[in-house]
Amino acid sequence: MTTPASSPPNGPPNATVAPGDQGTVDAVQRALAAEHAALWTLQLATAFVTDEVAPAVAEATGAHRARRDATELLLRDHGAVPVAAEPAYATPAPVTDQASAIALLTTAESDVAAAWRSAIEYTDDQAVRTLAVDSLTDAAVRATRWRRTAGTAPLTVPFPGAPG
Amino acid sequence: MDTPLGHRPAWQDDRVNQPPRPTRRQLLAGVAVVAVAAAGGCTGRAAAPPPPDPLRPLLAAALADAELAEAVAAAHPSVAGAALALAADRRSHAEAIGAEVLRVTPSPAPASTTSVPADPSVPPEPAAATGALVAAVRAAQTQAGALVAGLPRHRAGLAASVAACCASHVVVLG
Repeated sequence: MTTPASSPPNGPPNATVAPGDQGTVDAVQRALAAEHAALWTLQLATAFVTDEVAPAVAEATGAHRARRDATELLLRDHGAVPVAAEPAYATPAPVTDQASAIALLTTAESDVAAAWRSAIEYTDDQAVRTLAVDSLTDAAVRATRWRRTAGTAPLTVPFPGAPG
Repeated sequence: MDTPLGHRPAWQDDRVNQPPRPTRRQLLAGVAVVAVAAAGGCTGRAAAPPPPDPLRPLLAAALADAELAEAVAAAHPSVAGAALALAADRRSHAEAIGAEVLRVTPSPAPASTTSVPADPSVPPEPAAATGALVAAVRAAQTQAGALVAGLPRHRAGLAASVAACCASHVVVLG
């Protein structure tokens, strides 16, 4: 798991949100934090991947930016201030080459999948659930692509984003 | 009912003036009646049968996909790796969904009544067989994804992960 290098991104408590929505907002904030972390790892990876892999990194970056923007918009619609990206994140292992960069990208996608699956389980809001299942699905697909690029097996997990 | 020490407290000796006490069996029967009434309350008719579990079609699809993938793997060794990986994940889905269906509606062996799919027909060409698997997992992704908005929370999470897994197999097969 990629974690913020500085203090945890809990963000300010939001007084404008109806109490019933706070669970939804908190869960979506955690998903947004995972999206920020994924974008940071993609930026880091650009320094280590070959020209062959670079287009996939660029494509993933565009997809995560779009998801981040949609998530921030949704949070503002709920009266919340979206959490900001951290300046840097601690990686579980040093990134020194393409293999370690792709391993980190796979981890970041798994973290994104877990955050969005959790969001589904913290909300009854249908718009949030729709965004969450789309985001979870895309993260699982990208994680599979990165595993294939890295040549690791198995390529899939039966329950992407599931705890444990 | 004897006390553990085999000693009857004095107050139990005075039975004649006590109202009749329900037996343990009567109490349990009463609990069962209350539970049935509560379960039927959401439909307004205590006697109405429960609606079919919305996860049952997902369970049937997971089992059918696993059968198809195993048949494809047996018929076409060139695509066996991807087919068996799909079969394994779909069997995991069937196990988890079956457990959830059983948790909500305890009944004898729901899997055995839902399964027994006919022997899947496998296209003779490997490419067509792979195409059949891709069509199956795309359908499964759509089927599970469509339930996410409306299910209870933990079930929605399960359905979402099933949809995401099926989508990732499109990548593996493609």
